[in-house]
Amino acid sequence: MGKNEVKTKSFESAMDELNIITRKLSDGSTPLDEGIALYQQGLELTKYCMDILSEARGKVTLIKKEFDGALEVPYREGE
Amino acid sequence: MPIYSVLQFNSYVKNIFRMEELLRNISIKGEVGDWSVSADNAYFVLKDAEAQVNCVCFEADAQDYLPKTGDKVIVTGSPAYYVKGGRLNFNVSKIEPCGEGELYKQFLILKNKLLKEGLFDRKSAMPDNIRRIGVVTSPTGAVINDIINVAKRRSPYIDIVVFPVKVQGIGSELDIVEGIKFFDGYSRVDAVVVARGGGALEDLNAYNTEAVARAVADCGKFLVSAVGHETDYTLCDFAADLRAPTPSAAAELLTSDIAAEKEGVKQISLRLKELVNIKYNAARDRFGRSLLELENRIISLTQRAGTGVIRAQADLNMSMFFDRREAAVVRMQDKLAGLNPLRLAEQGYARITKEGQYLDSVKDLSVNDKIKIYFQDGHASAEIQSKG
Repeated sequence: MGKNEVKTKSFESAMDELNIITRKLSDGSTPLDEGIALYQQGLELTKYCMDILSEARGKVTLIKKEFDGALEVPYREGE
Repeated sequence: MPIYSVLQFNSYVKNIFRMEELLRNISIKGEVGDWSVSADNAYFVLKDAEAQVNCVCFEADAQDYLPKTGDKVIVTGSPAYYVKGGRLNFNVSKIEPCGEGELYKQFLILKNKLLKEGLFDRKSAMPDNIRRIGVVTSPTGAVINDIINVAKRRSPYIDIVVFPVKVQGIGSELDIVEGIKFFDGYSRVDAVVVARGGGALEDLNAYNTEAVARAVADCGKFLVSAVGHETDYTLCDFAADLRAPTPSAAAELLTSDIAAEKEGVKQISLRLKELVNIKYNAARDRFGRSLLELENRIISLTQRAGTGVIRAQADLNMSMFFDRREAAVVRMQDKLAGLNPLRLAEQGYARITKEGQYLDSVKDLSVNDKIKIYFQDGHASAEIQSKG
């Protein structure tokens, strides 16, 4: 898995992948070299998840109705 | 003075009640006591502070509203005297809630209708990962602020999308329905909150309309209703997948505590380390066992080849470990070479086969048998002329 691939992942898909990696690692039939590769991949993913939790700031938006649909605009208190 | 039988007396009384026009189809107000339903007939007493009357309502299921013990109601019907038991019952044809005003009456009737329809039974489970929450509420005021504050405190990374609506007054229920339907079809939110602050029953009216209740029940996304104060229940609350006592509680229900999430990720990372260690140790043990097995085989082969014993010694020094095995293998190769049939051929010996089988006795041969003789550099065919 390349670095760029990790960067675009959502927190959920990273967690899903971590669960898959954990399952594979628990499986006795996974060879050691593959296990080590999985472990490295897992470490990268846990760091990525931690970064999201520590740094990501969610947005608050407001649905604004338009003639041809709706769009999200930044929410400002009191508007 | 005539003497009547009990039957005569009771029949006479029954007729008095039956003939009395003033008692036909009348309404009585009171509190329900001892409410029970058996074979679709409801039995209860209607009472006030000073008196009570036994009531029966046949086909109770057909009623729009069914009370429970303690409820204040208005019942409409007629009294009937039962000859056999000598008992007066009020036969109820209609039960209506009472004492809470017309609006409350309508609320109870609609609630019962939707309840019977099963609208409040359609519940879905809360999704595991909620990152974007759609909120149908007023874009200003304490409610949206509470939701944002609580959600951001617990999960700072969460997105909140507000669908601004009027929360009371004319057209508010249409707004609310539109907001719910919008989020239902909006793939960018994982769950929906329908929220409003507390107020009088009249203020919450939009959330007690059939349209809003149906939109909430029909919403395919997980929907939390947080309308009014903790003690106010609206049809929106009943139809929702989950009812939160306050808007803040709704935000809390839909978000996870970031500290707990961080701990979860940390645990996964520890688990990964543990698993890879287990795997490494298992592989190391397997490797160790394979070497030991190899060593034992070499020893037993060498012993069979008659060259004495190689002693296996516990030795953690890897290079020595391999050196010893290498030496053992070389020694074994030498011995095997000594036993090589080709080396015997070099010394002038040859092997004889008949029909592909090696022969080691003249007894296996008869005159005229065809044989093959194998030399170190080729073979020849021959026929037996005689044997001794």
